[in-house]
Amino acid sequence: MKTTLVTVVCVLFSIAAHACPQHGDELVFSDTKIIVPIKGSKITAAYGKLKNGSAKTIKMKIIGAVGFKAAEIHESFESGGKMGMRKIEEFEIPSGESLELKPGGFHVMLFDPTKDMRIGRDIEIKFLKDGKLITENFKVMPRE
Amino acid sequence: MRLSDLIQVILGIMLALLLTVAAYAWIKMQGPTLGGDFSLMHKGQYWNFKSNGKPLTLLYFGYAKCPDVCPMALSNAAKAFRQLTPQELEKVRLIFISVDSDHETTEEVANYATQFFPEFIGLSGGKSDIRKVADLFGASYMEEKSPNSYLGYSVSHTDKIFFIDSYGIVKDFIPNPRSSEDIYKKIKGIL
Repeated sequence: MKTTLVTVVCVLFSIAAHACPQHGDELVFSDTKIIVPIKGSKITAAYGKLKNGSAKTIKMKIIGAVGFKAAEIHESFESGGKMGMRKIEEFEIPSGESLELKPGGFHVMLFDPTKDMRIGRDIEIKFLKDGKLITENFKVMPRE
Repeated sequence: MRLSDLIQVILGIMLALLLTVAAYAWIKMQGPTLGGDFSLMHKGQYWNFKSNGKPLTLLYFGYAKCPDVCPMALSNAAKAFRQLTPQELEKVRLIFISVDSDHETTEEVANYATQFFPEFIGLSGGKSDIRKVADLFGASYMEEKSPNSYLGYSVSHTDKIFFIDSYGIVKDFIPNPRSSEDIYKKIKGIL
């Protein structure tokens, strides 16, 4: 009986530990979303926050997104009175810092959807974190 | 000529000179006038600004494949328009001009604009026509090749919402960053 009880407690602790992001997690995504593509448009953007809770700088690359032919990180910038964009191959998040993917700044660009991007659908975006593949779900949401 | 007549002539010349200098100074203080009438294409049809005049037009230069800056500008403008009364909406409209005629048809641009607000007008046209209109409003843009990107190019462009009267003259503008509230207040202030 005692063994059973200890086992149940251990399992519950284990589940809780995996379910909740902990302080010190290496990389935590939040507020992730994909703006539903405009009808007839083959390009849209994804936004969110990435928090590096580890003790070292994290290097990130984007690999792709399920349901899109290509995914890239771009940066919007102002130069000579004009707004422009450039592709970013890799970006870094220093220890303890956050990076926000947001309109007018760093953002994910998604090209040529291959399936219906209806609102509410979760889309898996693939990144390389320090060379290792990770995935994160971004929800398709209407433009505010 | 009598002396008194001569004095009057000299005074007249001096007054005319003074008025000219004052007028010149006033014009300089006002700054250069931007804008004017223009014509472009809407869904394959010729579209003239003055012939479709409204008291107030918001004008934005961008491109429909722009995933970030242009949608944000149009989305915020649409939010501002949704706060206007039907009577106010009769007096105001927004024109989106695509500067990317190489990759976007007039149909695509028109459809793109209406996705944000049904009454938004999306215009395009030939390269030289678009350049002329952009020059008229002091807007600029440039296509930049981006061979390592999936799209292969991007277009940097002026990111201002111009507020123009029924003659096409710029009365004001809002640069980025701007909220829907900024746009709404500006519309209300001008109307």
